[in-house]
Amino acid sequence: MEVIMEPPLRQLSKDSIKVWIWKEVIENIIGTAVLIVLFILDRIFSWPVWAGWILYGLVGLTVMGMIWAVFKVKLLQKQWRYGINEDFLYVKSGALKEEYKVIPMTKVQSVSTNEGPLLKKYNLSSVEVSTIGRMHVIPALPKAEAQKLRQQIALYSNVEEEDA
Amino acid sequence: MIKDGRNRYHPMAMLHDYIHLIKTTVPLFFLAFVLKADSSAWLFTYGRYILPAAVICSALYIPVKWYTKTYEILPSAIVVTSKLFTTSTKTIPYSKIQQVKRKTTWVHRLLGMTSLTLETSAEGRDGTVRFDVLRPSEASSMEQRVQQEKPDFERKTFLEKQDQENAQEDNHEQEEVERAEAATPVDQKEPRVIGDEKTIHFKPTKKDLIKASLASLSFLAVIPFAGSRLSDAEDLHFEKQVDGLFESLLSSIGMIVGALTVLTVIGVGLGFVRTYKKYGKYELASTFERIFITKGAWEQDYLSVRKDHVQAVLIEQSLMKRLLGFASLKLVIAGENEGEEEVTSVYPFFPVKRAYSLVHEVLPDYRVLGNMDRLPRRAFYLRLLRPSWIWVAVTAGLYFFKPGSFFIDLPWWAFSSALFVIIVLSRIQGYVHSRFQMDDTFIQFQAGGFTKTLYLSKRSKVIELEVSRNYVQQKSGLASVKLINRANPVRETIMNDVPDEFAERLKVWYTHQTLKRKAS
Repeated sequence: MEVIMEPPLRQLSKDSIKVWIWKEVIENIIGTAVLIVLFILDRIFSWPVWAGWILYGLVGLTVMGMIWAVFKVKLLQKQWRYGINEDFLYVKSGALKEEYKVIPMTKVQSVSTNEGPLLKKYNLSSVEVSTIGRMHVIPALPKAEAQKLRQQIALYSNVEEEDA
Repeated sequence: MIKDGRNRYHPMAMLHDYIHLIKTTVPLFFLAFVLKADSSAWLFTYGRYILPAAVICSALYIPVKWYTKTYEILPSAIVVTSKLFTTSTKTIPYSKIQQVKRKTTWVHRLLGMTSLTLETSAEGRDGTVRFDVLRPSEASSMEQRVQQEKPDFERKTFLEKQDQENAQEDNHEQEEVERAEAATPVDQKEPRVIGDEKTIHFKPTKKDLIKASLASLSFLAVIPFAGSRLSDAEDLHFEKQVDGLFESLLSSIGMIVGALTVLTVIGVGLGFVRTYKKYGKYELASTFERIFITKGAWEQDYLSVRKDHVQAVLIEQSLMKRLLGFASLKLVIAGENEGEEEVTSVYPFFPVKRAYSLVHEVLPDYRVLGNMDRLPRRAFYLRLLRPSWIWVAVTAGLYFFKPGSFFIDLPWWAFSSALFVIIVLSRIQGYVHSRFQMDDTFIQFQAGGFTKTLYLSKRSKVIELEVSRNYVQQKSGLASVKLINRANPVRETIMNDVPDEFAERLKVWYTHQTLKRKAS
């Protein structure tokens, strides 16, 4: 029997790429600053040779991370899908490691929308869905869509669980 | 009240926060400025600047927090909003609130206030809404709101519980009035038999116990002792004289054999006593709605579990148990008392067939499915080729540090090779053991290398499903599936490298329940 489930269709906002790039830039600036401080300390206190190797290794990883980030943010946005009906929330994400989650509405405990400074800049909002012991995040949706989704999930999940 | 139904917390909440701040920092101030006033340790030198600064910041933050945090009582949910750097709005439906706690401390009483905590099943702060200070009338109306949403049977259990509590001694403290409303009825010490008979399913015989004590391996504890005796004996006899080599060899072998026999007998005896102590008067029984497990020969350990609280069944077999034909039966339980272990062992030494048949006997809702599907061949190669990070790490460690002999004098690569062989063996077994099957309501996974575990659960007990495919799996048409059950808080069961078709079927299977429910 060949059965295939329809994949969820709703996408993240295109602006999520910009948000993630900003985030990467900020993180990399902080990371680079930390590395520079470490190099200065290395000079001043003449740390052992292996400390230098580790530092060069970290520089390599940071540079690789920066290059990878350019592809990563585009792939993330391209691959993200979510879907919702009265009974389930579906979340699909990732390219190299593809993940598909099915979360029953009855198991949702609370749902929230969050807007940090970067998300605010592009009028976006993230949606966090808490279940028992786990949390699922839809990272960047247009604000109005996120608010609507929060209300929808709250409404659909407002039923008594049949099974404890 | 601000606009459109949103409320700020009671202003007294700020007072509560200030009192809390003072309470937590006074001891630190006392330490930094009185007890260790003369100390020039860096911790105290800087601490004397940092502490007041931190207190000032917190003191300034409290009114800001109060101003930016609001809540809204909707007909079916409570919405909490906080607008500072990050704006966040959280909605909690009333039906998800499991516990309503009201606590009135002496400060609250002084002010004529109370506090209210609304808890969901989600762990931590995330699933909790706290009102540190509010009017008792508000608290009562909020409590009523939450409870109105509850269906009748839960109110009934709530009232029942209250009656029982009243019947018991009223040992509530006067100072702190705490009222908890829980979905589960209190666990009675005595088994409650409502019209139906208690059936005894299993009682180990003497023979069972002897076999079990062999499988428990506790007799092996004598081996290190025997080993040290053995090497002593060797030293003693071989170095003495070469002439009587054969003779002394014989006598030393005699001695070794004798010593080993005695020690083994002692070991087995001790093992039996230990096993007997734990499972001597073991009994597994059940009624229509509960399972009863009694353990211990002298000190009795009694456990009663509601059948509908069983989330999954595990049948586990270690290498030793597989050789001796034993299996361990375990239950994943949620919803029983707080602090319960997430997996409860029913009995670790059932004969394999008995373990399987007991599942259906004890839990008539469950059934062990036969004819489980195996992983495709490509999964086997993929598993063998997958790099083993443990092996890489251990080998690198051995290569760089070349630790001295571990009792046995062998080069470092010998250990690395041995580990390699063990890992390969474990992976081969893992492939052979991996089986999966499901039917209308049940799901069944078997996995594990040296220890084989069969996992059984029902669709209604699976609270989340996750299917993931890494790059190699995508290319070879395989997927990993993860089922989440409630435990304490949750338990994940992962089945790696199942075919894509199965993963797809599983998704449909999991979401199918709703179609059925709608149809009926």
